[in-house]
Amino acid sequence: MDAKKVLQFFRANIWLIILVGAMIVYPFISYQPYWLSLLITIFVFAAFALSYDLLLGFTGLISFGHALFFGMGAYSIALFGRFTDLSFGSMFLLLAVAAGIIALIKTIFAMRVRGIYFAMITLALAQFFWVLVMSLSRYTGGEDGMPRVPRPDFLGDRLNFYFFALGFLVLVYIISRRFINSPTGRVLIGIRENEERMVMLGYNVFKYKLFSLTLAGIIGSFSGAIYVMFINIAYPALLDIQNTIDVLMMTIVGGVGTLHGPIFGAALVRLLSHFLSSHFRQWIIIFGIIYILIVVFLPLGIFGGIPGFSRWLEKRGGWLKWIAQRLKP
Amino acid sequence: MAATEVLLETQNLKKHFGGLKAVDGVDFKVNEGGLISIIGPNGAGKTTFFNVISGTLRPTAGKVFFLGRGVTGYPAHRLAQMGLGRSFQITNIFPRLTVLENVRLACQSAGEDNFRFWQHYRKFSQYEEKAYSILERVRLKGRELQPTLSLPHGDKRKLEVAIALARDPRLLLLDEPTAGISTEELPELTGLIEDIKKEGSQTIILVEHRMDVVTAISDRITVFNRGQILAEGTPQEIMDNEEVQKAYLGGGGSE
Ligand SMILES: Nc1ncnc2c1ncn2[C@@H]1O[C@H](COP(=O)(O)OP(=O)(O)O)[C@@H](O)[C@H]1O
Ligand SMILES: [Mg+2]
Repeated sequence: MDAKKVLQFFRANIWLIILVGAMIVYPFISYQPYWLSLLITIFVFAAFALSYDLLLGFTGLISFGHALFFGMGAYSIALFGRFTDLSFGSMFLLLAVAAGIIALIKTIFAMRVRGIYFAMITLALAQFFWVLVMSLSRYTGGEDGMPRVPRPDFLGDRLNFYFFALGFLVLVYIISRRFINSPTGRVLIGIRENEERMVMLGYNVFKYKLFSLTLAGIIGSFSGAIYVMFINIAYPALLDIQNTIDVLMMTIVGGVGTLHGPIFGAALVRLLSHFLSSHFRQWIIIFGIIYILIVVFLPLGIFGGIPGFSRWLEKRGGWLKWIAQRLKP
Repeated sequence: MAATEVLLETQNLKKHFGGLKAVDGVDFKVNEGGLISIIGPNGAGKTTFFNVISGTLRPTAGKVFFLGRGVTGYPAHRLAQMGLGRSFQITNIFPRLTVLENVRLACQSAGEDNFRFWQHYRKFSQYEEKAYSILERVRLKGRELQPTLSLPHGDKRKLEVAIALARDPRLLLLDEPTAGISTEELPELTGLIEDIKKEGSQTIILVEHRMDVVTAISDRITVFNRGQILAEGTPQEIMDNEEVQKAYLGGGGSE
């Protein structure tokens, strides 16, 4: 690698480097467990939101059941830990396979139904798992959840976990970025833009949707697994619609169809709800108002906007409208 | 396969929508090479015929053969992979991507790199180069980096053809490429189709409901009416055919 290339890389990724650098030095400047914990959850949810945007923003698939992947990751680790003595490597490997199977089921539906119907089916699938978890309470603890999630020893230390979660997010970001700029990623964007035409060009849409759903599923379920390793309990709400809505909001607020959008969206949503919930009793209302203001005045999300596309989107009323269009069967 | 081989054939092909017989027993045969036009008044079933032979719609009855193979009910993407390219009557492009990316995606589809998910797509420059050459071929040079949304209608129609051409299909189905084109712009588009014909790598089936457009450039013409073939022959034979005259005058065929 010559110096010119290195320089070019630094210039192109200057913000990424600054941000990651700041996150790395932060705990050495001010070590506050509370903030560290908050940042860890932000990192995990940012990765989760990124995986959601791979579907919504880059493949044009709107899902109301993305929490299924997250919850599946959460419960898999908790269950593996309690009933098996698998290594963490094999736990995550099995989890990836399971995510692939769920992705396959979703893809089969995605080929048959579109828009709101697909969204509702993903919701039903997630609810099915929710019911499953509740009814198998002998194993899953039902409503009470499953405490004592296993984690590798080195993650017992909060600072180590912090760097682990940060590393996970950076890895997910890099994979997503390479993915959407690859030939496969361009095909997904083509499908988002005009599926019918892609079919007439000889693209087997099934395979690409499966690819996208599998990748999003693996990232989503790994996020869930890491999250419960941190909070040390898996509970049913991780599977429910509220969790999907949270991740949808993070994506919209940050900017659908961008990679940095979901990350900052996750940070904003998490920080806002933490700040508001500790200062106001009716914080959810205030949060709702802020959300509406963002959608109305920043229809592309705070960091939204593929150049050229932004203007087009603006003329058409922003992401919410765009998503509403997606919902048309 | 010899050049005189049958490229596409349909036998008693039918597509009914409930009681509406959009395509109703069509026996149609295309040999390799040349340009065949399908004409007929609006609603004659021309687009539906294209939809069925390109795999977008399943036929109600009948058979389709492509390259000597029975392909009835094949999914559209497989037919496209086998060498069937198609353009649409209603412009069907990627409006938010650039003109270049519209065609580059089409070129990429024919290659082996669609499942490369790690390297940057621009590293596979052969598709980009091909896209440039196709855009030149359809006279869209200089527009490459423009967002497709802002193209004038005539250029959108050219892009529509460019996308269909990008895979170098053996058989090219063009569904009213001149739809919505003004009289002044017409020669540009018909000239483009003639160029493609002259280059000779594609067999073309051109749908067009304006008879004057097709008589000049077609080797043979098939006339559709109410889902059936009314007549078939050389342009001269068709022009002299009384039934065709009647269908056109009485059949409600509008411009
Ligand atoms: N998907 C469809 N569902 C129901 N009717 C259709 C459909 N597509 C076409 N038709 C009807 O079939 C007939 C033939 O239409 P079309 O093939 O578009 O004719 P053309 O292209 O020759 O103008 C028309 O009466 C049209 O309304
Ligand atoms: Mg038509």
